[in-house]
Amino acid sequence: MAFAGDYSISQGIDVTSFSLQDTSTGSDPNLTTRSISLFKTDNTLLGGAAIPWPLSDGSTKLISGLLVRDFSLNAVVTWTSSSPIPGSTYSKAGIVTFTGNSNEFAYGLLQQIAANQSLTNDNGYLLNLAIVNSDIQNANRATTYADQGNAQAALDRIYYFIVNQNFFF
Amino acid sequence: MALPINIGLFIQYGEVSSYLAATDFSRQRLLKGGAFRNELPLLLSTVTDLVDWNNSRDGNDETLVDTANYEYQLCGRYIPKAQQIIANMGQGLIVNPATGAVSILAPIYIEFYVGVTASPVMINGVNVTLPNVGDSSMTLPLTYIKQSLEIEMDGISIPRVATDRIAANVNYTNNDATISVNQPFAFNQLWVIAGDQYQTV
Repeated sequence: MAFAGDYSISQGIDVTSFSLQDTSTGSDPNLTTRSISLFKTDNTLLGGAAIPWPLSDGSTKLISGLLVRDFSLNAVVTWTSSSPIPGSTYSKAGIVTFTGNSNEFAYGLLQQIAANQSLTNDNGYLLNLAIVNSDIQNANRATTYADQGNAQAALDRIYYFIVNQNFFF
Repeated sequence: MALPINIGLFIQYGEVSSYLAATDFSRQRLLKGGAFRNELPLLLSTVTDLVDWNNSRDGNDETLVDTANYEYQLCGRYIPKAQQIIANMGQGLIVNPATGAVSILAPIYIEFYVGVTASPVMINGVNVTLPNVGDSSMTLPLTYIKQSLEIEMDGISIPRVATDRIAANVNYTNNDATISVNQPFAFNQLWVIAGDQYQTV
């Protein structure tokens, strides 16, 4: 049976980390290596290089601490076979957008409001929080259309709020 | 460790209340010319999204207690309406006339062959004993049956009080409904009984 490489990505509690799950179907006894390349919108690699995902690691790999901020990435997983089976696919690409940091930032603002409700009277506080929340959804919407550029643009707008939060919140 | 409040339920309240607040505030804005604070719908929608996110990320995160309680507080007077909408899947308000309690209408449907179908059968969580061959009545021990049971026998709608053919009269109380037939139940007759029951939200 031909080999069809596939994978899924999920985020857990730690928003700087994510897990890869190998969901390939079929089999190829001659697989030798596996790696994932995370391309940013400028076509450079997140982390500077492809990340090895040795077959000995099994079907799940946790990548920790890489997401110091949110990115929309073109994630390409590549399997290498010493004797490729005709009709098989050994590469799988997909747009993946991480919004954990943005959500965590917005949730932190919500915690501040819950503790001190008069904060919503501050000029712009609530509106800016709503813009952040809206852009999180915009990033996800863009991802459903495989629009990495606009997904990243929404994340960049949020990142601007994060690094300049003293001005906005 | 489980949290002391039902975060998922609060999120549902928030989602419905966001819509209720938005429509309510739109109407007030129309009538009052916009001269009042009108950010509640926006705040409620945003807060609900973020509580939902964190609940998905880690349903045991204890910060959810504070944030979800804040969300619940924002829902405020929209909570009762949200509860009704969630319970009735968007229908209007249904009140049990016997109790005045806001309710849903749970369907009742019983289909059986006399002397063939095993008894009892479970209807809305209650065992209903089916009549034996030769019986002239059966009781549905269901509370607050809406007084609209429809009864069919062998595919024919059965009248209530006719005397020149088979008829099935129904006596309703708050605790049950008793169906009395003017000709005893006969072997292999197919009876179908359908109606609604008030169940408190």
